[in-house]
Amino acid sequence: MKLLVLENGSKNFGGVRALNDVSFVLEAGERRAIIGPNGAGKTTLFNLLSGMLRPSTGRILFLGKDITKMPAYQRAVLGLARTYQITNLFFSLTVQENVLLSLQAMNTFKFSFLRPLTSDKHLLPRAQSLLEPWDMWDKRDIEVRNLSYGDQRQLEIILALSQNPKLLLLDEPTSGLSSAETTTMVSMIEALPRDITVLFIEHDMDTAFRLAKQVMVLHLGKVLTLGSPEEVKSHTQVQKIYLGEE
Amino acid sequence: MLIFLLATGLTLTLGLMNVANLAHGSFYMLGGYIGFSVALYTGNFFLGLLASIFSIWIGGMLMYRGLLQQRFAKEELAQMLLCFGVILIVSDLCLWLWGGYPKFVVKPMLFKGSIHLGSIVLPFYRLVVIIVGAIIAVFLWWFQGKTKYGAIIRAGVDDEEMARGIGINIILVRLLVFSLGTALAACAGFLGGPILGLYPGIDVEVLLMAIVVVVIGGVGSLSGALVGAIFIGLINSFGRSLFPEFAMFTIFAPMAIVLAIRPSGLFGEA
Amino acid sequence: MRRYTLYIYIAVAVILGLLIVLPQILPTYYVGLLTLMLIYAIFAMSLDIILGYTGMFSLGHSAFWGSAAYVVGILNVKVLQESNFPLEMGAGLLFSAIVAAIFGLLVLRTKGIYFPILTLALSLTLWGIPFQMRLFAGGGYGIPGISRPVLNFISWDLSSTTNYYYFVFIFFIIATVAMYFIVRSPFGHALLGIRESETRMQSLGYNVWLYKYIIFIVVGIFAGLAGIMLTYYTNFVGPSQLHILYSFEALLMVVLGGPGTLFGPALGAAIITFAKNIISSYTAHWPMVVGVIYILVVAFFPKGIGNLIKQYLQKRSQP
Repeated sequence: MKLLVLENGSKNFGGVRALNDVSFVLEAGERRAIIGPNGAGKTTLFNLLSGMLRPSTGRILFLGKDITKMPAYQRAVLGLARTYQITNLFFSLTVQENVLLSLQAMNTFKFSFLRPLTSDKHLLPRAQSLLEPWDMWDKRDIEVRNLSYGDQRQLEIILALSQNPKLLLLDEPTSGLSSAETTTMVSMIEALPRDITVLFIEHDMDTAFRLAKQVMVLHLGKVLTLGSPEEVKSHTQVQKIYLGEE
Repeated sequence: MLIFLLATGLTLTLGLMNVANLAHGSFYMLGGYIGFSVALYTGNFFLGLLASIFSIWIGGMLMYRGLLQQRFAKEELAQMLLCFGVILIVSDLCLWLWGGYPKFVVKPMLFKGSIHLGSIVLPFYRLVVIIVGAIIAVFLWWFQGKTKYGAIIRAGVDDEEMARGIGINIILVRLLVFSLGTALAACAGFLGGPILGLYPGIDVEVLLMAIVVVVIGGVGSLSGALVGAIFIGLINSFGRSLFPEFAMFTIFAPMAIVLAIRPSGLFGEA
Repeated sequence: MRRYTLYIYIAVAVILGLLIVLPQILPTYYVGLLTLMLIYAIFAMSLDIILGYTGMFSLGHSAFWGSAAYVVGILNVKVLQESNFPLEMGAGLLFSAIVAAIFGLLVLRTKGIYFPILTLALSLTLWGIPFQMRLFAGGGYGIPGISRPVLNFISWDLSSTTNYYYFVFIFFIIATVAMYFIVRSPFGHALLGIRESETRMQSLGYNVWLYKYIIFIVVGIFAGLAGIMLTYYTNFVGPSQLHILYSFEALLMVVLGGPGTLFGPALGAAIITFAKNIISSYTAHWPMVVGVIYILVVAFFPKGIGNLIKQYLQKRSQP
């Protein structure tokens, strides 16, 4: 089933073409990595898909629906969740409050002026079930700004997961993590249920090749190639870009 | 044209440094008053002008150094509050020192009288103001776009760390830019003296004008400020003669329209 | 978290008790002062909701309470033959809601430093309007002679300062309770999220603009309420009520009191109102003093008193 389709997507910033006629199809259940040197347009692509930016040209289809003009928050409701490369959490709120806010988003009573949040019965157990597997339930009363960086990165993903997404966009989930933290993160991502499609940007090649079935290489705003990790690794141009950069 | 002058100071600091000097109107007023007193005392218009520019230049530096550069002024909210503090203090100070009655700066003999251009009678002084405004506009444009210093300032704003790394004394640069902005306000205040007068409350009116110009013209853009100023000036005059009851609306409406269509102003950078 | 809630209940009870009892024993001057404190508290708390909780630096707060006050003034003096409190208040609140709705549309599309500048500009513009409307709105002289509400169903003479105090007190309680409910509700928590990270909220599925717009209007109504209370108190409305000095004072109350706490700004309101009265009796330079206080607060109490108290209590309750 075609989950996500991008047709001829471009994004111009003034005179700069950050993305140039990018097209691809993402099937449900896929695990695909996007790699590419800095400035290739990876985060711009994510911003386009998630709705933070409007494409200069092109169409985006999600679950068959044209979401090109849809604002970001509506895409979230449809089942598109993302994490950010630069940690984007509610820093002065506690871990629990962060998760509850996220869970509340999908609920109809989020506009309610009356019911106090913390006493809401439905949400707390769900919050617990989300935080426990990542060892975060004990830390639920800690303010996010006091968490370690690794924990914050984990919380980013937890928040995205709490949205019950069909498509998860992870922007450099392992960036800045120590190798121990990276291992934990990788195993957690591997363990994600198969009904969630994951599209992630990675700079760490080992992680990318390990987690992904398909790898897409972006360079200078265009898709260079798409294939299995082996195919991409042995692609001459890819090698040139990466080795040449050294 | 006068409007343009006073808007430039604001747009400069706002655009180049991302600092909204809300006390802009206050500097206009203070500069105007100081110049007025000096001119009165010495009987010399130009001395007054120099005094106002010079004193406010120093004042601007003091404000920047003493307040805005401090650690506690890192966030926007803090900066705004500090500006408010200054606005309140200066406004009351002026009231205290110069009283509640409007003051009129006397035009120098040199500039009195009018010129006849065809069928239009133009007070000579206004022409002078226009010319001064034009000179300053050209100077700023040249400075910002063409000289080494202009580039330094822009670089400093875009990437502070890099600029510092290259050895540019970014702190000094910002200090100078800020004081330039305030000095421009003072200059406008003094030059505007003969036209608008000086009275309590003018700081707020000027601030409003400057904001409207900047909003319509776009932040950080000199041409925007110019266009905005001319636009506002025209609308103001029309509005006052056609709809005296709605003078305020005539300022309000274009601003609202521009905001609705292009929130970053006509020439602003998004 | 549990231990200090007891202290809080006690403190609240004590304060309420004092507020109820003091007017009986204090001279009229002080009762009037207390009335002002309550009015300003409502004003400041409403600003806190958009500033401290939602993160919107609105500098045009005085626009809301001024417009409501003007409507009341116009109805009361120019239009109606006799005082009709429900109509006056209803119209006043409705008008402040409309003003907020219009401002909101214009202002909520802007980002960063533009937002406060714009709210300031709009508020300044609104301030200039009554000057033009001499017949209708009294021009620069305002509308004097506004009579206090006549409540026919309870024979309560509100022209007495003490009685009027209790009248305001009732609305103060209603408003405060309402505001507390709002900030504790799911909606209120969403506001916190918006303050922390709008983009995050968008990604989670919240229509951020709508939240901001709704709360902007709600806050406008509360501010309007405060304005109506004030205008009945002073029996007067003039352009001064739209003046930015009030916005600045409210902002100071919020910052001094501690943004994001509600009780902090109320406390800030009490302190500033008190200070204003005392200082104004010695010198006419109150604005200058406000300016200095601003600078001192930013330099030394950036989080405000309320937050300092909160931090202190939280530290105490942790083992």
